[in-house]
Amino acid sequence: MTKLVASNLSVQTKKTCLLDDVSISVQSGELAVLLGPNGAGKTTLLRAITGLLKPSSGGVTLDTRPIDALSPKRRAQKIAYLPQTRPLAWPSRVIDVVTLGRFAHGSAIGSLSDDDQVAINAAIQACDLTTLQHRRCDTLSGGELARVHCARSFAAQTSLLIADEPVAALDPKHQFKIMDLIKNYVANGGGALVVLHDIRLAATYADRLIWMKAGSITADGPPDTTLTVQQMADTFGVKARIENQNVIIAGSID
Amino acid sequence: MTLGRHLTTFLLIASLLTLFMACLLGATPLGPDRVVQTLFGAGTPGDTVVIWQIRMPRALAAYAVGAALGLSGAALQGLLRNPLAEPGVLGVTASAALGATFALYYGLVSFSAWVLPVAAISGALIATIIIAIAAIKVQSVITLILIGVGLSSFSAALMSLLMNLAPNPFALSDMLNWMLGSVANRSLDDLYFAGPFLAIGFVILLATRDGLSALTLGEEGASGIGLDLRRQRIFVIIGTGLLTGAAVSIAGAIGFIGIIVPHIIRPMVRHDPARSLLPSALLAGIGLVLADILVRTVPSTSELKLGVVMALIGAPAFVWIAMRGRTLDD
Amino acid sequence: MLRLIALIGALVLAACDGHQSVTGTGPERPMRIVSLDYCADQYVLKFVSRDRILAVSPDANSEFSYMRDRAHAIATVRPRVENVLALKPDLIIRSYGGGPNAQAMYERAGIPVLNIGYVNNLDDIPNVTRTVAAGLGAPELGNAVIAEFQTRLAAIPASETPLPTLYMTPSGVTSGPDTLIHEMLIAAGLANYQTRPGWRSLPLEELAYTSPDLIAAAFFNEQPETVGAWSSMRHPVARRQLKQNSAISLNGAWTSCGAWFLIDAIEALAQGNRP
Repeated sequence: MTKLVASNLSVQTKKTCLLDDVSISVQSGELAVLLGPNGAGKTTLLRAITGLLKPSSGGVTLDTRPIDALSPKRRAQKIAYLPQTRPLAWPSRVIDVVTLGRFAHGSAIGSLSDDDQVAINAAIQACDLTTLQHRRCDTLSGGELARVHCARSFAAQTSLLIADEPVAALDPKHQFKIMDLIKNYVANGGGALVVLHDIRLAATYADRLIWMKAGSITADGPPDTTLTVQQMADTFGVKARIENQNVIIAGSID
Repeated sequence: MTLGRHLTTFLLIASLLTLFMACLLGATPLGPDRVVQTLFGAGTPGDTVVIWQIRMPRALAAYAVGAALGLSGAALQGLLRNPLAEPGVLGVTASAALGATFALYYGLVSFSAWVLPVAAISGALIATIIIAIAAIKVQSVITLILIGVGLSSFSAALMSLLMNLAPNPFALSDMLNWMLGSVANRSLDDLYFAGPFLAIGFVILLATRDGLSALTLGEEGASGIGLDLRRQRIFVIIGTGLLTGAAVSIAGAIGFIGIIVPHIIRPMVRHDPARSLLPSALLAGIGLVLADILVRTVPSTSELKLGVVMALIGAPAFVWIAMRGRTLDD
Repeated sequence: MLRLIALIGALVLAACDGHQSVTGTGPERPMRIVSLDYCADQYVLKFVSRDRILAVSPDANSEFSYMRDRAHAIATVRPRVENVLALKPDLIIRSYGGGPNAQAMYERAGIPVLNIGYVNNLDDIPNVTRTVAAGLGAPELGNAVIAEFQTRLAAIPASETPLPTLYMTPSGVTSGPDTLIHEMLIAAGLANYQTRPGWRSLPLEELAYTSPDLIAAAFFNEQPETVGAWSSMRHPVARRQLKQNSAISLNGAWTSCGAWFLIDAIEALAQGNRP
């Protein structure tokens, strides 16, 4: 049971306040989705909570230990981070990118232990990449690449996964495929915090919704309680109708 | 990964063969049998001096310099995530040459023979630090290369100025060698003083190579999988500074070998920057020894310079790589 | 009107005088002489009194200038055309100074140029000395210098077994057959270790097999520590020669120009040869 807790995080730059006194938590067995308009500070929050960005005030603890006390590798053994932009500097093979997921365990392409091999194979299978594993990544489609990065995160065998828009720019089928993979990961004991823009996707998969606007958390709870028409209007400025689990967006307010 | 291991073994054998070939060339005609005998310690005293004090040191100098520059190029390309990065292009070799010439022609070397490699390394480190800082602040690698061009030009101009003003009468006549590179008359002494720095630079870059693989995912992705980005940058800076500075203190400024060789090697190691380091070093060493053999066999009144051979092959290759464009974004 | 004709006439006459293309011989006793390089400096300092020397080259005072003791407090001028013309010399003497176009340029400006001929072998030395001394207006002194040179040369004892000698300099070049240095060694009763003609890098590989009996070490007094970074003199095989074999030290000033004072080097070599 792993718990990542951010308390009173604030991130201040010279010009603006990116995060204002934000407190959230992520833990095993739970799929939390972070929702908010562009510029709400979602990416900043993810960077701060994974220890990549030092907050101006407040702190993050991983299993009650402060996260900046951990070395980058120790931290990466507990938390897998999928950033929003996922460039690949070189035309690497699928299997080599997935192998990078074992980096935090001190493994590299030429020196893989049996544990590494098992983890990599499991991740490739889970993400349905077995036939693609020796293909070069620059020959893959968007959906396939998204699966490769997911596989990389799973290969790390971390307790927590933090993903920033993992399904952006994917077609609906692949969006659901990726979210299924993450759901599966959570069902097997992992904990995930995922940023999504698609409300329906969020409503379908989330155990908990975290709403953000202008650097602050406006709501944090299960979809039944937090997914309301008022919440949609306040956060996104849109008129919405909610029928069972379906969210229909009628148009923008003003 | 068996391909990688086979490649390294092949390159090691090729290295030994190339060094042997270099020992066959010289003013005194020595047949291969005599060379082999001498290499195994069973040669005549005269042969032993010729092989072990004259020919082998020159070949080893070319090999060490090539390997150092090839390794630096591969590491810089891994760090900056661009196939055009290399100590010559980024102005590191020119700055190292500036440091070396300043120390040599203003008499600082009379304090100790260690001053020469240290001065060259200082020049190299200053340039590498400037490039690394610029790499953080600047998005496009084109800008980085332009900064390198600026550094190169400035160092070369300052070097010419200093050599013109230097009290030492040999400064000007040596200038061509410093700017274009040569391993003429290199002895084991030269290797001895540059050796420790070459070794340390080698070890640093090879020990931290896995971080370069992580950087395939970009800086944020690499940090996400547990790379300490600052540490990686510092080690690459120090490693390439040591290697480039030591190489320049032996042979002057030689460019382009750090671009050509890693570019050839990378597809053979599935484009993994970490796996490309050692084979790049070995192939670059072989390449520079072959270039030196060419330089010694081409009939010309004054000896052709190593840097000229490298530029004749490397500059067109540089343009070709640049024109192909980046296949993947960053 | 008459005055104008006279002025034009004078100018025409002056122009005619200037176009007298004089090479090799100047006016009978030129009063204002400028020397463009340090080899020319030696001749002008030897054959001309101070009051007639307008300027010498900046190297006249350097360590490798044989006549440097006489160069004290004489003005120096860089061999640039504007600088030299501004001094209004009667005669310019040079061997290489001012570049290959110098003679043509100065003659166009109306100043006679005395070129010091190239000295390829020992026989050239008396010939060149004679010509230059005459051109400087000191033929008798020239003959005296030549006579001394030839007397001293004849006094060098011949050697039955000339010892192989290697000529070494800090720049790491040595001299084989067809050079003046080679003739110097032969005249001193020695043999030249270097058998390939012309100026070349030290033959390191040959030195690995056979050592010369003697080393003629030139310029090492002037530049003991400074050696070019790529000079073959830096190589341990070359440095060992200086340590192991008997070295005869030659002042760089003796060998730096092929002039009459080369006899000092020949005598030093012959003396060092004697047991």
